[in-house]
Amino acid sequence: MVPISHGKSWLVQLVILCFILGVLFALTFKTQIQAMREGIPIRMADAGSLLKYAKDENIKLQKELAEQKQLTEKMAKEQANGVVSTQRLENILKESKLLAGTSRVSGPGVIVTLIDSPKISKDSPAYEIDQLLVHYSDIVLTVNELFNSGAEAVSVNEQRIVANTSIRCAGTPILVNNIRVFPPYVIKAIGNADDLYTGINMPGGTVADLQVLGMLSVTKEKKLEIPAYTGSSKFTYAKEETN
Amino acid sequence: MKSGRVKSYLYPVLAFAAGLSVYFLPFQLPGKWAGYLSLALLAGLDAITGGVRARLQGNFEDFVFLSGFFCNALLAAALAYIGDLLRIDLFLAALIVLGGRIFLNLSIIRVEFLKQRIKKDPGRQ
Repeated sequence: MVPISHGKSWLVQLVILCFILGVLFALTFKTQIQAMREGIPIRMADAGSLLKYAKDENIKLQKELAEQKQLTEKMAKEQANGVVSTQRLENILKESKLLAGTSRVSGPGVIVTLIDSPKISKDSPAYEIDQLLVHYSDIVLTVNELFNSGAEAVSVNEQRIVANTSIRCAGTPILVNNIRVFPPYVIKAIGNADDLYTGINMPGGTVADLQVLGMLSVTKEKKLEIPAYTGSSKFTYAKEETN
Repeated sequence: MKSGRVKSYLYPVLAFAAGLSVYFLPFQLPGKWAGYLSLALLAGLDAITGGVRARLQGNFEDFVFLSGFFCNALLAAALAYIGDLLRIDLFLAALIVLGGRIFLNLSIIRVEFLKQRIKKDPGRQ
């Protein structure tokens, strides 16, 4: 048995290493706190990375906001001076037309086709037949889902969906923009094709039951063309407020 | 004699406390280092418990103690870094080995300490 002796070198080394250990402890605490502040994911916990993502997004949006504010200011100044560049006016017009749906547009997207269910038969009871037919509400839901998934332009059987579009049922036919459309209902949507495809195919999504009944099919397209809105755009009651 | 012993036990503790005071110095390391530093810390803890244990068992060697501390700390951090590069949780390997060794060292220290106390007391009287 070796008793605890008081060898100096042993103690000196222990003291030195204990000091270094203390420093390491301090540094670790410090950097852990720093890491949390910087949003670096702590091992086995993804909360940090989520926070970082949210922060980055926030910064991006703030920058965007600042830019937009600057632009607004600039435009206001230009307007005050009466020198709005035609280029800018053109751009604004282009954007407004895109938003209003008054120009023909093309781009990638998806085509969603709605048909009456192939499961339908003459022997089906009435309540079942009702379930297996395409209703105007199915079209509304599909269009809504497409916009929700980031669609920038949508048409139903070549009828452009715009701000004052109505989709309704008038007996047997369905009216879109007050124009009759007939099956198959071909809904075109321009946007990120993958996003739109996923949105439509979302399990438990609003149109999932249509797919189960074989009433809905969706294909990704490289290039789609969506016509302009051709209906009237007369505004009698709504007046623009300028401020 | 007795007071001298108490003091000698106190030195490492004081040194540790002095090291901790670095926390209050006004500087900041990149947060990325946090994961590696904590592993280096674990390796250091392992080396120190290993050193104390070797001392108690009577097979303490300077080189093993000092090199063990620095090499293991660096190796553990390097392993974790390589693991991060390869997207493998290699740090887990260091974590398990070092953690296990610390526990082992501590239990041996406890056993040796108790043994020596029991043997010493009747011998003295």
